[in-house]
Amino acid sequence: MTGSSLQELDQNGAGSDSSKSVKSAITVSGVVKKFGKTTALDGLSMNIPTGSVYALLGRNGAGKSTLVQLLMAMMDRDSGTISVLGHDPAKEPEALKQRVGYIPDRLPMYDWMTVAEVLKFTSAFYERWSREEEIALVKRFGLNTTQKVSSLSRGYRALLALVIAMAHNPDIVLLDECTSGMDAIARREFERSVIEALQQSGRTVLFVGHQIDEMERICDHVGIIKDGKMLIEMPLDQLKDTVKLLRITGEDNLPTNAPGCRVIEVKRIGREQLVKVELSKAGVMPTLPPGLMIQETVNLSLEEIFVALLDIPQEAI
Amino acid sequence: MNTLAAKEWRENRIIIGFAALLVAVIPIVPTLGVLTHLSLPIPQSDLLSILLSICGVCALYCGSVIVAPEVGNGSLQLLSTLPISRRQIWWTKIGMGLLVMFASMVVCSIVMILITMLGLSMNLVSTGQTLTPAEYVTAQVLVALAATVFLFSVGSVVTMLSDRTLSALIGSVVTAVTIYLLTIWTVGEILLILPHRQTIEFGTHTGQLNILIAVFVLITLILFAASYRLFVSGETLKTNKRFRLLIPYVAPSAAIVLVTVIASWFVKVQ
Repeated sequence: MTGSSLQELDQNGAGSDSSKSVKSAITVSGVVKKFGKTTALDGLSMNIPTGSVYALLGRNGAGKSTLVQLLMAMMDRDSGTISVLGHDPAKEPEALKQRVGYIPDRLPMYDWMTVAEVLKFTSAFYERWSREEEIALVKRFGLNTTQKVSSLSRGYRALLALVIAMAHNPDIVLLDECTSGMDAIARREFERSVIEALQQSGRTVLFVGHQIDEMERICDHVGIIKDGKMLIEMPLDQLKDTVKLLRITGEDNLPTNAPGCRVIEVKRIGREQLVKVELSKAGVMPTLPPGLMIQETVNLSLEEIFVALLDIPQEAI
Repeated sequence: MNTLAAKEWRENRIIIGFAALLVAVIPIVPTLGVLTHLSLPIPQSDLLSILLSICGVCALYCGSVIVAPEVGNGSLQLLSTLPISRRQIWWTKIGMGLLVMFASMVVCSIVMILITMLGLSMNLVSTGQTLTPAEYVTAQVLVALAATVFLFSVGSVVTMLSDRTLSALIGSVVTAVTIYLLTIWTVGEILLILPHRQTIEFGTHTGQLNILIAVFVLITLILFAASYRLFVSGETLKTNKRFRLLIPYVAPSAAIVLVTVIASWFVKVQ
């Protein structure tokens, strides 16, 4: 499965026209990153519109975290170009980091410091650090500034990381699987805090993670990485209009190369077929051969689309 | 940068107290019957040897903890996300590491002087070593400084290749001993091969000692350059890229040793 028709749609369809008119906060073009013989990113391209909340999805080892580390100038790319708010991470890392807030997956901190000391330490590096914003966020998240970082729960650590990422008024916030390891309640709590903190801020947000159902509620753009390449990238609504589940009746099977769609998966129950298809044009149903009839069109969740596009067996989820 | 320096100081200042404590317990050791060859008052030469050993271990430790613990606990990742260049981070860490190391040496020396003043150690004259303060400074302190900075530089390279303090310290000890022995042997062999052959006894022949010190200063500078390159270009300091970055610094030295081995063999055969 290559997802080529989806990419074609993204490049030629209505979605690309709208994205072209919006200024990009992050542009990645043909980026390659290798670790010895392993290719982590293989000519990856990506475009994140300014002000969007973008979900970057992919299986473990797909290259998501490597991409984020390249965006944060923590690694050097082997080839390709990257622009973050007009800055090349390889050439202007400090200027870029002044404008980007980042929460990594491991939530690294100095455990021997108190919350107040961590905030004082990090604030010294930022030109735009707002003490008022810091106090407001600490109060909103209920952080105890005298508490040692080592005694914070993972949820509170994430909230402290969120304060650090937000208090210098960044234009972009990168969240790299920072909710992994949290229980469901802490994750919900963190998610609510993120939404509140980002509400009406107009910031560009890049979410990287595996909690697809939660990301679906927040994000408006989606990118799916497979084997270091961008499999698909488009607005969430457009993606949902493109990948559908069709309930088809008829004796014959729907051909895999039916005009106007690509068949991803077929399940037959008697005379009925449940077919996951990738439409060539969002919202436009495929032309079926005689004897087959679409009885129902079902919208898929982002998680179902993710699973279908990555050819992941259902039992593995 | 000041904030980072203050953080480094807070993290490492305990080394000073620990080193001073080690020196302070030396007079207690004979009373415990642990090191029976030591007896009160301790000869100052023994005390000086112990002091130098402690300073050497301090230097290795100060170099070894520059980066390895931060890689291990992930805090280097936090540092990498802050708007400060890796060059600045390296200079600050090396600067503060050296400061802590020198502070340890000074504090240890003060403790040693106090031990002497309390009559727990014999002075230099009574042990037959008639060193004037000026001779002491030039002969002992300068060599000690060169040696400790060399040991620190070894630690500053090995710390880039490890993610635990203990493994970095053990690695530093092994590397320092290996470099020391290889250097002594190689320099000795080269001097033997040279036209004016003579018996080399480092430590008694001032000229040859100076050559050796110059070689160690050169090695120290190369080690600092390697440490800088590893940190600035080593990305997360977790990939094999670190070892590839080290090759340009290790390869010429290895080549010199190899050429010396071959040349020495030829000379002996002839």
